[in-house]
Formats: sequence, C-alpha cells, structure tokens
Amino acid sequence: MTANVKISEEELVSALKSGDQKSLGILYDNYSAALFGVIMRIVESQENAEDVLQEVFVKIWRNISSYERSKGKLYTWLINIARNSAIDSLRVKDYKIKSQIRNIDDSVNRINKQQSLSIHPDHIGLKALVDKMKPEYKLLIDKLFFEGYTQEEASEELNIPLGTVKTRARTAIGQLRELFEKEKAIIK
Amino acid sequence: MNIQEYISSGILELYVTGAASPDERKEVERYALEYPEIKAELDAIEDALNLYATSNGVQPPSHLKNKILGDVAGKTSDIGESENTIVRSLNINSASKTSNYFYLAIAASVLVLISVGSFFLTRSDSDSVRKYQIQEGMLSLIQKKDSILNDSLATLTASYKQAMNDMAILKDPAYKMVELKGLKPAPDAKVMVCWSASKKKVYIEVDKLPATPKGMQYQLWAIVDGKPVSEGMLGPGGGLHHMPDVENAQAFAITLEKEGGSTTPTMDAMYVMGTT
Repeated sequence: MTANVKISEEELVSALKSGDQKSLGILYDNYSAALFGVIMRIVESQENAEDVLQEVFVKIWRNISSYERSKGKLYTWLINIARNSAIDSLRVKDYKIKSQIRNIDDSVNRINKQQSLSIHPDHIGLKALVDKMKPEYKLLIDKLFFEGYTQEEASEELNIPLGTVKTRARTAIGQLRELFEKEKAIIK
Repeated sequence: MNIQEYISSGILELYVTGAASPDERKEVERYALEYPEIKAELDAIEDALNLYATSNGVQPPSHLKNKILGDVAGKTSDIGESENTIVRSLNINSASKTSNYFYLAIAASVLVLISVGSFFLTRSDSDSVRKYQIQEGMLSLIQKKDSILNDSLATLTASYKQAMNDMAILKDPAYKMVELKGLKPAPDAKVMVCWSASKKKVYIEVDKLPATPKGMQYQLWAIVDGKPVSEGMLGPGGGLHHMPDVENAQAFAITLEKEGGSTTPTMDAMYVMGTT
C-alpha cells in the first residue's frame, strides 16, 4: 500500500521465509505505519507502543514459517500479531479492569492523541473516506478489529444483542467495502 | 449447505477481525478450503479491513526502524521446523502454552503471598500512602493471576472439547475405520478415515503424509461405483477433520493436486488408498 519498493505479497513472504533480512526492511517500510496505528489504539503511551512494535517484528521474523496463505493474507496476519501483542502488553497492566472503567472522555482523548500524531500523507484521502462511515459502524469495527474485543465483549460494551454483532459487523464492513470500491472507481 | 446464507451471516467478518470463537474459526477455515466463493468473500473482507488499517496508520518515529531491524537481525528464525511437518498437533501447542501460564500463575501466587505478608508487617506503620500502594500492588497481582488463569482455562476447555468430540466419533459403532496405506510416492504414509455408511459422514485424521510442495494441496477422493468423487481438500491442523458426506464408498484415496483441487484425480500422484 505505502510501498516504496513494489514487491508482491507472495514474493515478500517467500523472501521472509528464506531468512532474507532485506525483505524485513521492505516489510517494515510497507506495514510499520499500519501496525503502529493498531498498537497505538490499544497501548496508552507512545514509548510502550514503540516497545510493542519492536516485539511484533521479532515475532514476525521468528514465526513467519508458520504463516499460511490458506488461512489469510499476510497483512491480516501481521495485524493479528500487532493487536495481540499490544493487548498482551496491557494485560500485565490490568487492561481488563481499566478498559471497563475507561469512559467516553478517555476514548475521545485517545482519538485526539492519535490524530495529533503524524498520519501518513498518502493516507489522508483514505482517512477522509473512512470518516464518511456511520459512526456506530466505525465504532464496532474499531472494537473488533483494532482493540481485539470478542463478540461477547463488543455486545456488552456497545449494548447491542450478541446476535446482532455478527450481522452488524457484516453491514459495517460492507459499507467500508462500498466506500473503497467507489474510491477505486474515481481514481480510475 | 447454503453458501450465500453462510456468507451473509456475518461470520466471515468476525473471522477476519479475529473475534470468531475457536470452533467458528475451524469451521470457516474448512469451508474456505472447500468453497471458492467463501474464500473469495474472505479475501474481499480482508482487503477492505486492511485498507481500513492503512487509513488508520500512524508513522512510527524514524529512529525506530534501524533499532528494530538491528534487534531482529540478532535473533535467528526457526525456519524449517514447521515446514517439514504438514500436520502440527494443536494439542502439543496448547499444552506447552498452558504450562507456561501455569508457572506464571504460581509465580503470581507467590508474589501475592509476599505482598500479603508485607502488608501485615507494615500494618503498624502509620504511613497510609504506603499501605495504599501495597494494596494497589496486591490488587494488580490478583487481577493478573486471574487473567492468566482465565486464559489457561479457555485453552484447556477448547482442547478438551475437541478431544471429546473426536472420541465420541471414534467410539460410535456406526463408524468404520478405513486405513489408507502409503503408495509408491510415499510408501510409509498413513491416513485414517472414519466413515459411517448409515450416517454418510466422513472424518479424516492424517497420521503421516509428506509436506506439500508450494502451490499444491492434498485432495481426498471417495470411490463410488468405481468412479472417483471429490471429498474436499485437506487443511492444516491435527485432530479429526469433518469432510463432505458420502454414500456407498468402496474406497478412499488421497492425491496431490494443485491448490484448490482438481475435478479428476491425478492417478500417478496418488499417495494413499484404502478399501472400505
């Protein structure tokens, strides 16, 4: 996406699997901003987020041999590692208790904090696009995708029935897909 | 199965966000191998969410790149270990995970005891700030221990459920065990098929099969009235796997095919076979 060096996902994976360290640099250039974005959603301080990012790259390097395309795309796999590492780093600091008492003010602060950080210039257009989403849909995707909520936790936190979580997740991501499709059409 | 209904249920979205339960995950992975429509839908959902992640990206400070790459370069990767074994037993992974949690839990308990002890020792101390800090520390340790125990319980429950399910099938007299023996490409390969003629259900457990080359996948076939019928693609992971139903199978066989499967088996790439 942000690629300075164009290389297909498949080529990148096989280079990483063969232990080619240069490929890790390419991986970093292409994905570090997205992964750091995910980590910053969950981890409160930038300093801790930097530690988590480092841990994430060590994990990627160590576990790339277990990555299988049949179970999903590389990008999704990377995001999973980032999200889980960030949550694990918080668990040590009583994440669960904290997240329960985290109020709306906090979420607002976090979002502001995030916006004040440097956003990749290529992505300003994308960001504007995403802001067109219905806020309640965006919130659900954020909880599930970025903050690692389970269906049950999302249902409780957002006060929607458990059965609705699935269907709403589909509607929300459907809206996202539609927005991106439209954007692609405009670019072409 | 109604594929459209399955797609529109929203389960695939939960799978990609990581919010699906372990059972749901298995199911989605199996269907994705079996039905190209489901795989395509998964890919589209992944693309949308990944673009979303890109749009939410935050550039890490520039000094971090060299630090991280330098750190990683110092650590070796364990390439090869998992590539040589096509089926890794999930149980082994979860067992070692559990024992790590177990030691952590013990360590946390000891720390709690120490904190409790120091709390009583300093009780006469009039410094209430210190008391408060100790209580805070205790609380955080208890919470940590609680979350560790919860995690290991969830892991154990999942592997127990899987084992109970597998055992119920193995014990059911309606099922016949069909041993598929290694053929020319891999003489010592071995795969077990549990098949019930009355229930038409098929389960498979890979005992030993060579690793698949890149872009290739194993495909199970049932021989029905002398004709091969595709029984789906073999996915990764240990334990019993549920395959599509079949009636009147005289034999089962596995061939190596291109990823996604073939309509007819490649006869000279037949790895195992067994008659019912």
